[in-house]
Amino acid sequence: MKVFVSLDAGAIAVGADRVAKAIAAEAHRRNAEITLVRTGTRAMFWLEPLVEVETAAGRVGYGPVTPKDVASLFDAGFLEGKPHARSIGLVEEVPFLKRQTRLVFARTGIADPFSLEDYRALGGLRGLERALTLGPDEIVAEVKRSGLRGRGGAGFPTGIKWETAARAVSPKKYIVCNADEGDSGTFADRVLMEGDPFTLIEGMAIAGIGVGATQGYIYIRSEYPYAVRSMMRAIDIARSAGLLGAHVAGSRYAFDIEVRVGAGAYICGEETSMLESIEGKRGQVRAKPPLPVLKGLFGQPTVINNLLSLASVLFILAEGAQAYADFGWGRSRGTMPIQLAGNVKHGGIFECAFGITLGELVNDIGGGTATGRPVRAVQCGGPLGAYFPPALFDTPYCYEAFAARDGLIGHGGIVLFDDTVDMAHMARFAMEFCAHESCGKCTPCRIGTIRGVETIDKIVAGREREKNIALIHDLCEVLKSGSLCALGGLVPYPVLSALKHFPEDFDAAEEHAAVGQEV
Amino acid sequence: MSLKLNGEPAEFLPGERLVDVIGRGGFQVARDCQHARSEAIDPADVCTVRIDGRLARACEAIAQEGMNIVTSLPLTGGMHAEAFDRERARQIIENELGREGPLLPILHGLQQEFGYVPREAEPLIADLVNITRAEVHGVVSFYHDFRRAPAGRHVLKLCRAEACQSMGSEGNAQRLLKKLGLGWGGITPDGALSVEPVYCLGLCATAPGALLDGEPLGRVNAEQLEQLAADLAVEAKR
Repeated sequence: MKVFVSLDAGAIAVGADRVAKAIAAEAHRRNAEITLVRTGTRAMFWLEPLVEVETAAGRVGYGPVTPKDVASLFDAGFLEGKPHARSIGLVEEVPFLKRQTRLVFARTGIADPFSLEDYRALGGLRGLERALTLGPDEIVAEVKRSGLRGRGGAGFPTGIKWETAARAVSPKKYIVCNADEGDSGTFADRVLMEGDPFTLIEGMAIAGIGVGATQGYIYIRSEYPYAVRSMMRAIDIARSAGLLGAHVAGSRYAFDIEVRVGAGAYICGEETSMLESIEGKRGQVRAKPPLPVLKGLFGQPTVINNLLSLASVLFILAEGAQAYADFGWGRSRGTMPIQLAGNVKHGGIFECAFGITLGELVNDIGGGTATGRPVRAVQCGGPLGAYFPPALFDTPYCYEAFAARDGLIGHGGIVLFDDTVDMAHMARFAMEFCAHESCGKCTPCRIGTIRGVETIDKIVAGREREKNIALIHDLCEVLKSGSLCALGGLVPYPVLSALKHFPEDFDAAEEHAAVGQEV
Repeated sequence: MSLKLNGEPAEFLPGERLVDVIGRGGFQVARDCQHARSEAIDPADVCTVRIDGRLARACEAIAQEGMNIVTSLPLTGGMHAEAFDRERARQIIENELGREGPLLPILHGLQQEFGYVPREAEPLIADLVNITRAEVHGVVSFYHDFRRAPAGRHVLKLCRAEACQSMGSEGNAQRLLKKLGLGWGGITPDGALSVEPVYCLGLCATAPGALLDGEPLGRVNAEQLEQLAADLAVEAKR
C-alpha cells in the first residue's frame, strides 16, 4: 500500500515530516505493509500536511493532518481510502486542482522527485527527446512560435532571446536559470525545484542545445535551503544517468549544470546583478547594452531565463508550439502558475491559461481571506507590484491588461490583505525595502527611496500633506526614469497604487492628530 | 545621563563616545583600530560590545540614555563558531578555486565552517583568488548573509515580507523581540539565540514563515515563537 506525504519545505514547515514519521511508526506498530513515498507538494497549502493513499479509484487525500490524527486514520481504514474527518476525497477532484491546466506543474506532487523512472513515466524527457530529433534551429523556431514570454516579470519573448544567443558566435555560451525567487508571495520556483527538479534540468538542457551553450548555472537564493539540496541531488542523478555531461542523453551535444547559491541580496534576482554575483562580485547592476544575450556571464553570450520559462519549454517541445499557443489570451500565450499567498483561505499554486480575471482568482479560487474578513487589497507581482482594490478585480490576468491598469503580473504572485491592512504602512514598507535592497549604483534608488520613506512619514503625520504628496509623485517619476534596473524603476508601482486607490489611509494620522488637538 | 554598563549604572555626558564611557567605568575595550599588522583584526576582540543585545563598535557608537552595554562577549559564541584556523580556511578556499567565479562558494564555505566570515580570511582569499583585498571586502560586506561576527548558537530568521505581514508577522516579531529585549540581529545574553530578519522564504501560502537553523516553520504565531525562545534558553542553561 502506497502512502504519499510531501517533502516540500512549505509542507514540512507545517509538520509534514512529523506526520510522515508518525505514519511510519504507527504502520510498524500495527504490522501494516505500507510504502511511504515522499513527493513534491500538490501546492494546495491549506491542506498541508496532506496525506494521500493509492486506491483503485485513484488517490484519496486527507488533510490537514497532524501527528495526533494518525492513529485515528489507521482506525478509520485510510489505507483503503475510507472516510475520516480529514478526508477530502479523490485528490484530483478537489476543485482547486481540477480547475487547473497544469502544464508546468503536471508532475509535481505525484511521485518521488528523485526517481528518473517516475519522471519518465509521467511524461518527462519527451521534450528533450523531440528536441534532439529537431536540432538547434528547429528548437529555437518552435519556442519562438509558441509565443512564450519570460515568466520572470518582464515578459520578453523567450524565442527571440534564444535566437539572438544562437546567432552569436562564441566558443563558449551559457544558460543561466534565474531561481532567485525573491518576490514575496511567489514560491512556484521553490515548489518546482523541490517537487520536480528534473523538469528544470530538462528545460535547461533543451535551451543549451538550442542556442549552443555547454554550461548552465542555476542561481538559487540562500533562503531556499531545501531547493538548493534538491537541485544538487537531482543534478547528480541526471549526470549519472547520462542526461548531463559530454553527451546529453547519448547525443553529440554537451551540457552540464552547476548550482550557485545567493547570499541574501534581493537585487541579485535582477539579471545583470545575478551575472555579477555568479562571477564573484558585488551584485551591482550592469548598464545595458551590451545585452547579456550577447555579452553576459564572463563576457560570453548568455541566455538568462526565469525558471518557469525554462520549465514551460518541455511542453512546447513535447506537444508542439501550437498546442501551447492554443492556451492563453491576447499576446499572453500559454499558462501561468499563479501563486495565491498571504491572507488567503486557499493558498497555493493555480496554473491556468492567461485571461482569468483577478476577482475569480482571489474570490472563487482563493476563497477570500484566511481570516474571513473582507479582502481590501491584493498585491500582484511581488514587492514591486501594484496594490489592486476590489474595484479592479475585473482585470484579466495577462501582461497587457495589468499594464493598462498601472500594474504588473511579475512572477505570478498574488498576496491578499484583509481590511485591517494599513496601506500607508505598506507604501512606506515598499520604499524601505527598496532602500534596504538597493545595490547603490543609481542615486534615485539609493537615496531617493530613503527620502521616500521620510516623505511618506510626513504625509501620514499630516505635515504639508499636499506638497509632500506632489513630492512623492515627482520622486516616483525620477525613480522610474532614473534607475538602471527594475528595483528603482518599479518601486513607484506599490507606492503610487496605494496612494491612488487607498488615499484615506494616508490621512489617518492627520485625523488622529486633529482629534488629539481637540482634547 | 546614565546607561547600564555590564549591569552597573554609568554616567555620561551628551554626545560622548561609548568607548570613553566604558573606559571610565573600569572596563577594557581595545581602542587601537589602526593596527599595524597587515592582517585585518577580528572585530569580536577589538572594540565590539553589545548594545541592547546587538553587536556594535564602541568607538563608533554614541552613548544614549538607558542603553544596556555588555562588554564581554559570551565565549560560547556562534552556532558553530570556531576559532580561526588558517590552514582549514586555506583548504576551504582551495577546494573552490576550480570553479568559474569562486568567491561566493568560498565565502559560504568559510561561514559554514566558522559560523561567520573571519576578517583574517580576507587577505588569504585575496591572495589565493588573485584579487585585491578591497574587492574581497566589498563582496563580503555587500551580501546580507555574510556575518562579520559569530551569531547565537541558534538562528531564528523571521520573514518580514508582504505575504507574512498580511498574516501578522510584524506583531509576532515585535512581541518576541520585546520579550527577549533585542533588536533585529540581536543575540540573547546567554548566546543561545539570534533573531534576524529575512525577506521571503517562499512559505507565503503558509504565512507567517520562519527559518530556525535552516528548518522551515509555517503558520507561526507569537506564543509559539516565545515558547521556542524559552526552550532554547533552557537548553542553554544545561
